[in-house]
Amino acid sequence: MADIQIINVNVGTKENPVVAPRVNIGTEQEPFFVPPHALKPDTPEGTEYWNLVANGDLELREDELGEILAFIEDHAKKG
Amino acid sequence: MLKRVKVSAPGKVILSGEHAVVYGHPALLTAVSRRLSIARERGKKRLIDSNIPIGCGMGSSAAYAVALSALKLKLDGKKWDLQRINNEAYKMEKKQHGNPSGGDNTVVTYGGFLWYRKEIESFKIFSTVKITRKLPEFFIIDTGRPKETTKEMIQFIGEKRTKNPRAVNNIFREIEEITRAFLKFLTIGGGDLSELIRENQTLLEKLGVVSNFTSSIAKEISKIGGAAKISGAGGRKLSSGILLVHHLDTSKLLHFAKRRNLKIFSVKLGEEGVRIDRKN
Repeated sequence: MADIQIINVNVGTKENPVVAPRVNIGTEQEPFFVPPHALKPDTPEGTEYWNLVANGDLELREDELGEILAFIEDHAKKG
Repeated sequence: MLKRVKVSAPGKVILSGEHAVVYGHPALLTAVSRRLSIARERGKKRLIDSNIPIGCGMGSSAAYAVALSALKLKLDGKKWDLQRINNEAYKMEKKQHGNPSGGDNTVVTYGGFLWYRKEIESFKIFSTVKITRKLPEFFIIDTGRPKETTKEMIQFIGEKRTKNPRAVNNIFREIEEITRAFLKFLTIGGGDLSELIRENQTLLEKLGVVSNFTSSIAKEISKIGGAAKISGAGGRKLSSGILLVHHLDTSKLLHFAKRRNLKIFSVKLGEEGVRIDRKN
């Protein structure tokens, strides 16, 4: 995943900004930001992220879940 | 201002509803008597101590976020306010992971049991569960780290559901019935706890998230009069993470675990939420 670009995104509100590192796995027009560790499921942080998904503690729509999985697979193929 | 504060928050397990919850079915969570504590002396570094296992869905991340926000509140000399602690912990989780449902931080903050269900994207139900009966001691058996990543387990279920939506959705519906039966058991009574756990495990096996090894352990526990189910994402090859185990004869269970060389520890379900352990 060497070519992924991590940017700082406001995950809070305009009034109460909270900046966090994110990767845009969507497009410029329709961004979909995920934390970098979501894309590294074999790391401790990545394991934690995916455990939260399995236990329902992270809210992902089915299409979003599909998007992350496809992104990881795509990048795994590219090596 | 306080010189020294120590706060602690519990871990949690999912009693019923793993995987199904991803597709809109309910989940029942409970705080457990494994805790993470953070102590801070003025001018010194924070000391973190935890006996919550990491990386197996026992809420170590939420416990950290909740304990840290509680600690900050106390060090700032503010009034103990669970709602505020919960909100701050939620923000931390959001920063760290994205879009949390809030279930983990809520059950860790308030303790006890929590019912969670996402009805539609913009509407979810959280309800603390008031239990009417004393629960027996439970145990956690660690079957070991699954060979697959949790992401692979979720992907496996997603692909299985795409290929065979009817069969998988039926299993999810049956899991939902069990989750409801657990809720009924806790709140108004009725039902056989061991039977519920065994049925839940059978459905998770049908779903394909339990390895043969873990399945054999659960079956052996049933044979000696207990009941066990995986808690969390599971694993298909060799290990499946943690097993939540119920047995009224503790010595029988401990003897079994020793014989099979399995890591086991006891947990109280419905544990107290975040608390101050020490201040001066």
